[in-house]
Amino acid sequence: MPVRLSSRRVLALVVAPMLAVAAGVPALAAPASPEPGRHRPSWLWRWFGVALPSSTCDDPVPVGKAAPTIRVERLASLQFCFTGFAPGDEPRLHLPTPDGGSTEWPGRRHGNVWTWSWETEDVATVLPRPGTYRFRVTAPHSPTGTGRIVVRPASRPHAIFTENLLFGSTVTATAVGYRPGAPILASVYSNRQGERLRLIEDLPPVIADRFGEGIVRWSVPFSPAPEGYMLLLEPIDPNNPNECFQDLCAGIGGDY
Amino acid sequence: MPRPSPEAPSPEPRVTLLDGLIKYAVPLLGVVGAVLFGTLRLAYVFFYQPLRATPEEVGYGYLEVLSSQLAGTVELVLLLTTVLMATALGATALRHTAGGRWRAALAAPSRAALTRLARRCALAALIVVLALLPVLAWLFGTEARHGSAVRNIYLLRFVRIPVLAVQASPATVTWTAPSRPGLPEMSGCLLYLGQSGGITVFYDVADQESIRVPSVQIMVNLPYAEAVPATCVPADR
Repeated sequence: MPVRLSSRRVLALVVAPMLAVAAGVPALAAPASPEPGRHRPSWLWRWFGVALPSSTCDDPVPVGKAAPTIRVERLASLQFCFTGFAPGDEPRLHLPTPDGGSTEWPGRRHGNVWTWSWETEDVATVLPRPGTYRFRVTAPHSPTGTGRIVVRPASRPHAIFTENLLFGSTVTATAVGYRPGAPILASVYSNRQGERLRLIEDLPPVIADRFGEGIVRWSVPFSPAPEGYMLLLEPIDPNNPNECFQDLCAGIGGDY
Repeated sequence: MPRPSPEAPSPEPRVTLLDGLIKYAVPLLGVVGAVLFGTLRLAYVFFYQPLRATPEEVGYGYLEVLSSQLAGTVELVLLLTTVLMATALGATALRHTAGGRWRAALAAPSRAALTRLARRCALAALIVVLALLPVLAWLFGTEARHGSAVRNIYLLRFVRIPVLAVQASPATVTWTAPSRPGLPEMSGCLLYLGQSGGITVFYDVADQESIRVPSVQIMVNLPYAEAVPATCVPADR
Protein backbone atom coordinates (compact mmCIF):
# COMPACT_ATOMS: atom_id res chain seq x y z
CA MET A 1 0.00 0.00 0.00
CA PRO A 2 1.49 3.28 -0.95
CA VAL A 3 2.32 5.67 1.83
CA ARG A 4 1.95 9.37 1.29
CA LEU A 5 5.12 11.12 2.32
CA SER A 6 5.49 14.28 4.21
CA SER A 7 8.23 16.44 2.77
CA ARG A 8 9.37 17.52 6.20
CA ARG A 9 9.75 14.07 7.61
CA VAL A 10 11.02 11.81 4.95
CA LEU A 11 11.28 12.90 1.39
CA ALA A 12 12.46 16.24 0.19
CA LEU A 13 12.77 16.72 -3.53
CA VAL A 14 14.25 19.92 -4.70
CA VAL A 15 14.57 20.95 -8.28
CA ALA A 16 16.97 23.80 -8.77
CA PRO A 17 18.43 25.61 -11.74
CA MET A 18 22.15 25.03 -11.62
CA LEU A 19 25.15 26.16 -13.59
CA ALA A 20 27.49 23.20 -13.51
CA VAL A 21 27.24 20.72 -16.32
CA ALA A 22 27.76 17.25 -15.00
CA ALA A 23 25.12 16.11 -12.62
CA GLY A 24 26.71 14.46 -9.67
CA VAL A 25 30.14 16.00 -10.13
CA PRO A 26 29.71 19.01 -7.87
CA ALA A 27 28.91 18.35 -4.25
CA LEU A 28 26.60 21.11 -3.21
CA ALA A 29 26.06 22.34 0.27
CA ALA A 30 22.63 21.56 1.63
CA PRO A 31 20.41 24.56 2.32
CA ALA A 32 21.10 26.22 5.62
CA SER A 33 18.72 29.14 5.31
CA PRO A 34 14.98 28.72 4.98
CA GLU A 35 14.81 31.49 2.42
CA PRO A 36 17.72 31.25 0.05
CA GLY A 37 18.61 34.01 -2.33
CA ARG A 38 17.94 36.76 0.19
CA HIS A 39 20.94 38.72 1.38
CA ARG A 40 19.35 41.16 3.74
CA PRO A 41 21.79 42.92 6.02
CA SER A 42 20.50 41.71 9.33
CA TRP A 43 20.98 44.95 11.21
CA LEU A 44 18.91 46.89 8.70
CA TRP A 45 15.87 44.66 9.01
CA ARG A 46 16.32 44.38 12.76
CA TRP A 47 15.69 48.09 13.13
CA PHE A 48 13.34 48.91 10.30
CA GLY A 49 10.17 47.42 8.91
CA VAL A 50 8.29 47.92 5.68
CA ALA A 51 4.58 48.59 5.38
CA LEU A 52 3.53 46.15 2.68
CA PRO A 53 0.47 47.07 0.66
CA SER A 54 -2.73 46.06 2.36
CA SER A 55 -4.69 46.14 -0.84
CA THR A 56 -4.20 43.05 -2.92
CA CYS A 57 -5.19 44.60 -6.20
CA ASP A 58 -4.75 48.02 -7.71
CA ASP A 59 -6.49 49.28 -10.81
CA PRO A 60 -9.13 46.55 -11.01
CA VAL A 61 -10.92 46.13 -14.32
CA PRO A 62 -14.60 47.20 -14.37
CA VAL A 63 -16.54 44.04 -15.13
CA GLY A 64 -18.28 44.04 -18.48
CA LYS A 65 -16.58 47.24 -19.64
CA ALA A 66 -13.19 45.90 -20.60
CA ALA A 67 -11.86 42.52 -21.66
CA PRO A 68 -8.34 42.36 -20.32
CA THR A 69 -5.62 40.23 -21.81
CA ILE A 70 -3.53 38.88 -18.96
CA ARG A 71 -0.10 37.70 -19.95
CA VAL A 72 1.73 35.38 -17.66
CA GLU A 73 4.81 33.24 -17.90
CA ARG A 74 4.46 29.49 -17.51
CA LEU A 75 4.44 28.42 -13.85
CA ALA A 76 4.49 32.02 -12.64
CA SER A 77 1.90 32.94 -10.03
CA LEU A 78 -1.14 34.70 -11.40
CA GLN A 79 -3.48 37.30 -9.98
CA PHE A 80 -6.06 39.63 -11.45
CA CYS A 81 -9.16 41.39 -10.24
CA PHE A 82 -12.48 42.84 -11.31
CA THR A 83 -14.74 45.44 -9.77
CA GLY A 84 -18.23 46.74 -10.41
CA PHE A 85 -20.29 43.76 -9.24
CA ALA A 86 -23.74 44.25 -7.75
CA PRO A 87 -23.85 44.16 -3.94
CA GLY A 88 -24.40 40.62 -2.72
CA ASP A 89 -23.15 39.03 -5.92
CA GLU A 90 -20.52 36.35 -5.60
CA PRO A 91 -18.90 36.16 -9.02
CA ARG A 92 -17.30 33.00 -10.35
CA LEU A 93 -14.56 32.63 -12.90
CA HIS A 94 -15.00 30.04 -15.66
CA LEU A 95 -11.84 28.66 -17.22
CA PRO A 96 -11.67 26.12 -20.05
CA THR A 97 -9.90 22.80 -19.54
CA PRO A 98 -7.83 20.99 -22.20
CA ASP A 99 -10.53 18.31 -22.59
CA GLY A 100 -13.10 20.90 -23.62
CA GLY A 101 -14.75 21.26 -20.26
CA SER A 102 -14.65 24.16 -17.88
CA THR A 103 -13.69 24.79 -14.27
CA GLU A 104 -15.24 27.30 -11.89
CA TRP A 105 -13.31 29.40 -9.42
CA PRO A 106 -14.77 31.60 -6.70
CA GLY A 107 -13.04 34.93 -6.14
CA ARG A 108 -11.88 36.62 -2.95
CA ARG A 109 -13.55 39.88 -2.02
CA HIS A 110 -11.62 42.94 -0.79
CA GLY A 111 -14.11 45.77 -0.48
CA ASN A 112 -15.77 46.05 -3.86
CA VAL A 113 -12.88 44.34 -5.65
CA TRP A 114 -12.91 40.62 -6.43
CA THR A 115 -9.57 38.91 -6.89
CA TRP A 116 -8.57 35.59 -8.41
CA SER A 117 -5.08 34.36 -7.71
CA TRP A 118 -3.12 31.13 -8.03
CA GLU A 119 0.30 30.26 -6.75
CA THR A 120 2.85 28.49 -8.91
CA GLU A 121 1.74 24.96 -8.08
CA ASP A 122 -1.92 25.72 -8.72
CA VAL A 123 -1.20 27.53 -11.96
CA ALA A 124 0.36 24.34 -13.31
CA THR A 125 -2.99 22.63 -12.84
CA VAL A 126 -5.25 25.48 -13.88
CA LEU A 127 -3.26 26.47 -16.96
CA PRO A 128 -1.51 23.21 -17.87
CA ARG A 129 0.08 24.28 -21.18
CA PRO A 130 1.29 27.47 -22.82
CA GLY A 131 -1.45 29.02 -24.91
CA THR A 132 -4.47 31.29 -24.73
CA TYR A 133 -7.28 30.64 -22.26
CA ARG A 134 -10.50 32.62 -22.68
CA PHE A 135 -12.30 33.11 -19.39
CA ARG A 136 -15.65 34.46 -18.25
CA VAL A 137 -16.62 36.02 -14.94
CA THR A 138 -20.29 35.61 -14.17
CA ALA A 139 -22.53 36.78 -11.36
CA PRO A 140 -26.35 36.69 -11.17
CA HIS A 141 -26.95 40.44 -11.00
CA SER A 142 -23.88 41.84 -12.74
CA PRO A 143 -22.67 42.05 -16.29
CA THR A 144 -20.51 39.19 -17.52
CA GLY A 145 -16.81 39.87 -17.71
CA THR A 146 -14.60 38.28 -20.29
CA GLY A 147 -10.90 38.23 -21.01
CA ARG A 148 -7.95 36.12 -22.05
CA ILE A 149 -5.04 34.66 -20.17
CA VAL A 150 -2.05 34.23 -22.43
CA VAL A 151 0.42 31.74 -20.98
CA ARG A 152 3.76 32.10 -22.67
CA PRO A 153 6.68 29.68 -22.32
CA ALA A 154 8.92 30.32 -19.34
CA SER A 155 11.98 32.45 -19.99
CA ARG A 156 14.22 30.70 -17.46
CA PRO A 157 14.50 27.19 -16.07
CA HIS A 158 12.02 26.35 -13.39
CA ALA A 159 10.33 23.17 -12.25
CA ILE A 160 7.60 21.93 -9.98
CA PHE A 161 6.22 18.59 -8.93
CA THR A 162 2.87 17.87 -10.41
CA GLU A 163 1.68 15.10 -8.13
CA ASN A 164 2.05 13.77 -4.63
CA LEU A 165 5.10 11.77 -3.72
CA LEU A 166 4.52 8.15 -2.84
CA PHE A 167 7.04 5.49 -1.84
CA GLY A 168 7.57 3.04 -4.67
CA SER A 169 5.71 5.16 -7.19
CA THR A 170 7.01 7.30 -10.02
CA VAL A 171 7.00 11.00 -9.32
CA THR A 172 7.03 13.56 -12.09
CA ALA A 173 8.39 17.06 -12.17
CA THR A 174 7.43 19.53 -14.88
CA ALA A 175 10.49 21.40 -16.06
CA VAL A 176 10.01 24.58 -18.09
CA GLY A 177 12.13 27.38 -19.48
CA TYR A 178 14.51 25.35 -21.68
CA ARG A 179 15.29 25.75 -25.35
CA PRO A 180 13.03 23.58 -27.53
CA GLY A 181 14.89 20.36 -28.30
CA ALA A 182 17.45 20.87 -25.55
CA PRO A 183 18.18 17.98 -23.17
CA ILE A 184 16.91 18.40 -19.64
CA LEU A 185 19.37 16.72 -17.30
CA ALA A 186 18.33 15.83 -13.79
CA SER A 187 19.96 13.98 -10.91
CA VAL A 188 18.84 12.77 -7.54
CA TYR A 189 20.90 13.56 -4.46
CA SER A 190 20.50 12.82 -0.81
CA ASN A 191 19.29 15.87 0.99
CA ARG A 192 21.40 16.06 4.08
CA GLN A 193 20.94 19.24 6.02
CA GLY A 194 24.23 20.84 6.89
CA GLU A 195 26.33 18.34 4.94
CA ARG A 196 27.39 17.97 1.35
CA LEU A 197 25.01 16.31 -1.04
CA ARG A 198 25.55 12.73 -2.13
CA LEU A 199 24.68 11.65 -5.65
CA ILE A 200 22.06 8.91 -5.74
CA GLU A 201 21.19 8.62 -9.40
CA ASP A 202 21.53 10.37 -12.74
CA LEU A 203 18.18 10.34 -14.53
CA PRO A 204 17.98 9.78 -18.29
CA PRO A 205 17.88 13.03 -20.27
CA VAL A 206 14.51 14.37 -21.34
CA ILE A 207 14.22 16.37 -24.56
CA ALA A 208 12.39 19.68 -24.18
CA ASP A 209 9.29 19.99 -26.37
CA ARG A 210 8.43 22.93 -28.65
CA PHE A 211 7.54 25.04 -25.59
CA GLY A 212 10.86 24.23 -23.93
CA GLU A 213 9.19 21.95 -21.40
CA GLY A 214 9.65 18.37 -20.33
CA ILE A 215 8.49 15.88 -17.74
CA VAL A 216 11.19 14.37 -15.54
CA ARG A 217 10.24 11.05 -13.96
CA TRP A 218 11.85 9.30 -11.03
CA SER A 219 10.89 6.05 -9.30
CA VAL A 220 10.94 6.69 -5.58
CA PRO A 221 12.53 3.79 -3.64
CA PHE A 222 10.29 1.77 -1.37
CA SER A 223 12.53 2.44 1.61
CA PRO A 224 12.92 6.09 2.42
CA ALA A 225 16.32 7.60 3.06
CA PRO A 226 16.34 9.19 6.50
CA GLU A 227 17.80 12.37 5.09
CA GLY A 228 15.37 12.55 2.18
CA TYR A 229 16.13 13.23 -1.45
CA MET A 230 16.72 16.22 -3.66
CA LEU A 231 16.17 16.37 -7.38
CA LEU A 232 18.43 18.84 -9.13
CA LEU A 233 18.04 19.99 -12.70
CA GLU A 234 20.58 21.55 -15.00
CA PRO A 235 21.83 24.19 -15.23
CA ILE A 236 23.26 24.14 -11.73
CA ASP A 237 23.78 27.48 -10.07
CA PRO A 238 26.60 27.06 -7.55
CA ASN A 239 25.68 30.37 -5.91
CA ASN A 240 22.03 29.52 -5.61
CA PRO A 241 21.73 25.76 -5.64
CA ASN A 242 18.35 25.65 -4.02
CA GLU A 243 16.54 28.72 -5.17
CA CYS A 244 13.38 26.78 -5.94
CA PHE A 245 13.47 25.05 -2.58
CA GLN A 246 10.43 26.67 -1.11
CA ASP A 247 8.34 26.52 -4.26
CA LEU A 248 8.94 22.84 -4.63
CA CYS A 249 8.50 21.89 -1.05
CA ALA A 250 5.21 23.71 -1.08
CA GLY A 251 4.35 21.68 -4.13
CA ILE A 252 5.15 18.45 -2.36
CA GLY A 253 3.39 18.87 0.88
CA GLY A 254 2.84 22.54 1.51
CA ASP A 255 4.13 22.18 5.03
CA TYR A 256 7.67 23.47 4.73
CA MET B 1 -10.50 126.70 14.98
CA PRO B 2 -7.02 125.54 15.75
CA ARG B 3 -5.22 123.86 12.88
CA PRO B 4 -2.96 120.91 13.52
CA SER B 5 0.67 121.79 13.47
CA PRO B 6 2.50 120.28 10.49
CA GLU B 7 5.48 119.48 12.80
CA ALA B 8 3.40 117.32 15.15
CA PRO B 9 4.83 113.77 15.27
CA SER B 10 2.62 111.18 13.62
CA PRO B 11 1.88 108.06 15.73
CA GLU B 12 4.19 105.03 15.14
CA PRO B 13 2.58 102.40 12.89
CA ARG B 14 1.62 99.46 15.08
CA VAL B 15 3.23 96.18 14.10
CA THR B 16 0.76 93.37 14.56
CA LEU B 17 1.53 89.71 14.93
CA LEU B 18 0.17 89.09 11.46
CA ASP B 19 2.53 91.70 10.02
CA GLY B 20 5.45 90.02 11.74
CA LEU B 21 4.43 86.63 10.42
CA ILE B 22 4.12 87.95 6.87
CA LYS B 23 7.39 89.85 7.08
CA TYR B 24 9.61 87.25 8.71
CA ALA B 25 7.99 83.88 9.30
CA VAL B 26 6.63 83.23 5.82
CA PRO B 27 9.91 83.89 3.99
CA LEU B 28 11.74 81.96 6.69
CA LEU B 29 9.39 79.03 6.27
CA GLY B 30 9.93 79.16 2.54
CA VAL B 31 13.68 79.06 2.95
CA VAL B 32 13.51 76.29 5.57
CA GLY B 33 11.12 74.34 3.34
CA ALA B 34 13.42 74.65 0.36
CA VAL B 35 16.47 73.58 2.37
CA LEU B 36 14.53 70.70 3.92
CA PHE B 37 13.22 69.62 0.54
CA GLY B 38 16.67 69.74 -0.97
CA THR B 39 18.07 67.57 1.78
CA LEU B 40 15.18 65.14 1.91
CA ARG B 41 15.04 64.86 -1.86
CA LEU B 42 18.60 63.67 -1.73
CA ALA B 43 17.39 60.62 0.22
CA TYR B 44 14.82 59.91 -2.47
CA VAL B 45 17.43 60.31 -5.19
CA PHE B 46 19.67 57.84 -3.40
CA PHE B 47 16.82 55.34 -3.01
CA TYR B 48 15.67 55.45 -6.62
CA GLN B 49 19.15 55.66 -8.14
CA PRO B 50 19.87 51.90 -7.88
CA LEU B 51 16.43 51.34 -9.38
CA ARG B 52 17.23 53.54 -12.37
CA ALA B 53 14.54 56.12 -11.72
CA THR B 54 14.22 59.60 -10.28
CA PRO B 55 11.87 60.79 -7.51
CA GLU B 56 9.99 63.02 -9.95
CA GLU B 57 9.35 60.13 -12.35
CA VAL B 58 7.59 58.14 -9.63
CA GLY B 59 5.55 61.07 -8.36
CA TYR B 60 7.65 62.68 -5.65
CA GLY B 61 7.73 66.44 -6.16
CA TYR B 62 8.21 69.25 -3.65
CA LEU B 63 4.89 68.84 -1.85
CA GLU B 64 4.93 65.04 -1.88
CA VAL B 65 8.43 64.79 -0.43
CA LEU B 66 7.78 67.35 2.31
CA SER B 67 4.32 66.09 3.26
CA SER B 68 5.23 62.41 3.31
CA GLN B 69 8.62 62.83 4.90
CA LEU B 70 8.16 65.54 7.51
CA ALA B 71 6.45 63.47 10.22
CA GLY B 72 9.00 60.68 9.97
CA THR B 73 11.91 63.09 10.04
CA VAL B 74 10.47 64.83 13.10
CA GLU B 75 10.05 61.43 14.76
CA LEU B 76 13.68 60.52 14.09
CA VAL B 77 14.93 63.91 15.28
CA LEU B 78 12.89 63.76 18.49
CA LEU B 79 14.09 60.24 19.16
CA LEU B 80 17.72 61.10 18.59
CA THR B 81 17.39 64.31 20.60
CA THR B 82 16.10 62.31 23.55
CA VAL B 83 18.96 59.85 23.26
CA LEU B 84 21.55 62.62 23.00
CA MET B 85 20.11 64.50 25.97
CA ALA B 86 20.00 61.39 28.11
CA THR B 87 23.58 60.61 27.14
CA ALA B 88 24.75 64.15 27.89
CA LEU B 89 22.99 64.26 31.26
CA GLY B 90 24.30 60.84 32.14
CA ALA B 91 27.85 61.82 31.17
CA THR B 92 27.66 64.98 33.28
CA ALA B 93 26.41 63.03 36.27
CA LEU B 94 29.22 60.49 35.81
CA ARG B 95 31.80 63.26 35.61
CA HIS B 96 30.55 64.77 38.88
CA THR B 97 30.50 61.35 40.48
CA ALA B 98 34.05 60.66 39.42
CA GLY B 99 35.12 63.99 40.94
CA GLY B 100 33.40 63.17 44.21
CA ARG B 101 30.79 65.91 43.79
CA TRP B 102 27.86 63.82 44.84
CA ARG B 103 25.42 66.67 45.34
CA ALA B 104 26.14 68.08 41.92
CA ALA B 105 25.78 64.63 40.43
CA LEU B 106 22.32 64.22 41.89
CA ALA B 107 21.14 67.80 41.37
CA ALA B 108 18.78 68.48 38.51
CA PRO B 109 20.14 70.93 35.94
CA SER B 110 18.65 74.40 35.86
CA ARG B 111 15.85 75.09 33.43
CA ALA B 112 18.04 77.40 31.37
CA ALA B 113 20.78 74.75 31.12
CA LEU B 114 18.23 72.11 30.17
CA THR B 115 16.78 74.31 27.46
CA ARG B 116 20.23 75.08 26.10
CA LEU B 117 21.10 71.39 26.09
CA ALA B 118 17.83 70.47 24.38
CA ARG B 119 18.42 73.07 21.69
CA ARG B 120 21.92 71.85 21.00
CA CYS B 121 20.91 68.20 21.00
CA ALA B 122 17.98 68.91 18.66
CA LEU B 123 20.26 70.74 16.25
CA ALA B 124 22.80 67.92 16.35
CA ALA B 125 20.05 65.35 15.89
CA LEU B 126 18.62 67.24 12.92
CA ILE B 127 22.02 67.36 11.24
CA VAL B 128 22.67 63.66 11.91
CA VAL B 129 19.23 62.61 10.66
CA LEU B 130 19.45 64.70 7.50
CA ALA B 131 22.93 63.35 6.83
CA LEU B 132 22.05 59.73 7.50
CA LEU B 133 18.71 59.59 5.66
CA PRO B 134 20.39 59.43 2.22
CA VAL B 135 22.64 56.63 3.50
CA LEU B 136 19.63 54.73 4.79
CA ALA B 137 17.82 55.36 1.52
CA TRP B 138 20.75 54.04 -0.50
CA LEU B 139 20.91 50.88 1.63
CA PHE B 140 17.20 50.23 1.14
CA GLY B 141 17.49 51.06 -2.55
CA THR B 142 20.08 48.32 -2.83
CA GLU B 143 17.76 45.93 -1.03
CA ALA B 144 14.99 46.76 -3.48
CA ARG B 145 17.33 46.26 -6.42
CA HIS B 146 17.85 42.72 -5.16
CA GLY B 147 14.12 42.10 -5.17
CA SER B 148 13.01 42.89 -1.62
CA ALA B 149 9.83 44.85 -1.08
CA VAL B 150 10.63 48.26 0.38
CA ARG B 151 7.67 50.45 1.16
CA ASN B 152 7.10 53.16 3.77
CA ILE B 153 10.02 52.18 5.97
CA TYR B 154 9.31 52.64 9.64
CA LEU B 155 11.19 52.10 12.88
CA LEU B 156 10.36 48.79 14.49
CA ARG B 157 8.94 48.97 18.03
CA PHE B 158 7.73 52.54 17.44
CA VAL B 159 4.72 54.19 15.92
CA ARG B 160 4.47 53.17 12.28
CA ILE B 161 5.24 56.60 10.92
CA PRO B 162 7.25 56.23 7.72
CA VAL B 163 10.75 57.53 8.25
CA LEU B 164 11.34 57.03 4.54
CA ALA B 165 8.15 57.12 2.50
CA VAL B 166 9.47 55.42 -0.59
CA GLN B 167 7.96 52.54 -2.53
CA ALA B 168 9.24 49.51 -4.42
CA SER B 169 6.58 46.82 -4.18
CA PRO B 170 6.46 43.50 -6.04
CA ALA B 171 3.80 43.81 -8.70
CA THR B 172 2.13 41.80 -11.38
CA VAL B 173 1.25 43.80 -14.45
CA THR B 174 -1.03 42.93 -17.32
CA TRP B 175 -1.94 44.84 -20.42
CA THR B 176 -5.57 45.90 -20.53
CA ALA B 177 -5.24 47.28 -24.04
CA PRO B 178 -5.76 44.89 -26.95
CA SER B 179 -2.63 43.04 -27.93
CA ARG B 180 -0.65 44.69 -30.71
CA PRO B 181 2.50 43.59 -32.44
CA GLY B 182 5.51 45.01 -30.69
CA LEU B 183 3.87 45.24 -27.29
CA PRO B 184 6.50 43.96 -24.85
CA GLU B 185 5.73 41.11 -22.50
CA MET B 186 5.55 42.17 -18.88
CA SER B 187 7.97 40.30 -16.68
CA GLY B 188 6.97 38.55 -13.47
CA CYS B 189 9.90 40.15 -11.66
CA LEU B 190 8.65 43.72 -11.44
CA LEU B 191 8.77 46.18 -8.59
CA TYR B 192 6.21 48.97 -8.76
CA LEU B 193 7.93 52.28 -8.09
CA GLY B 194 5.16 54.80 -8.68
CA GLN B 195 3.58 56.91 -11.36
CA SER B 196 3.53 60.45 -12.55
CA GLY B 197 2.05 62.23 -15.54
CA GLY B 198 0.20 59.13 -16.72
CA ILE B 199 3.34 57.00 -16.81
CA THR B 200 3.87 54.13 -14.38
CA VAL B 201 7.43 53.19 -13.54
CA PHE B 202 8.61 49.66 -12.70
CA TYR B 203 11.96 48.08 -11.98
CA ASP B 204 12.67 44.66 -13.46
CA VAL B 205 14.77 42.78 -10.91
CA ALA B 206 15.78 40.07 -13.39
CA ASP B 207 16.94 42.41 -16.16
CA GLN B 208 18.00 45.18 -13.76
CA GLU B 209 16.28 47.80 -15.88
CA SER B 210 13.53 50.30 -15.23
CA ILE B 211 10.42 50.26 -17.39
CA ARG B 212 7.98 53.07 -18.13
CA VAL B 213 4.47 52.18 -19.25
CA PRO B 214 1.34 54.29 -19.94
CA SER B 215 -0.82 53.91 -16.82
CA VAL B 216 -4.11 53.66 -18.71
CA GLN B 217 -3.01 50.57 -20.61
CA ILE B 218 -2.13 48.34 -17.72
CA MET B 219 -3.60 46.68 -14.68
CA VAL B 220 -1.29 46.62 -11.69
CA ASN B 221 -1.67 44.15 -8.84
CA LEU B 222 0.37 44.60 -5.69
CA PRO B 223 0.35 41.24 -3.93
CA TYR B 224 1.21 41.02 -0.26
CA ALA B 225 4.74 39.80 -0.87
CA GLU B 226 8.03 40.53 0.84
CA ALA B 227 10.01 40.03 -2.35
CA VAL B 228 9.81 39.12 -6.00
CA PRO B 229 10.09 35.36 -6.72
CA ALA B 230 13.51 33.96 -5.87
CA THR B 231 13.98 32.90 -9.48
CA CYS B 232 14.06 36.59 -10.50
CA VAL B 233 17.19 37.39 -8.55
CA PRO B 234 20.28 37.17 -10.75
CA ALA B 235 22.60 34.37 -9.71
CA ASP B 236 25.67 36.61 -9.56
CA ARG B 237 24.47 38.78 -6.72
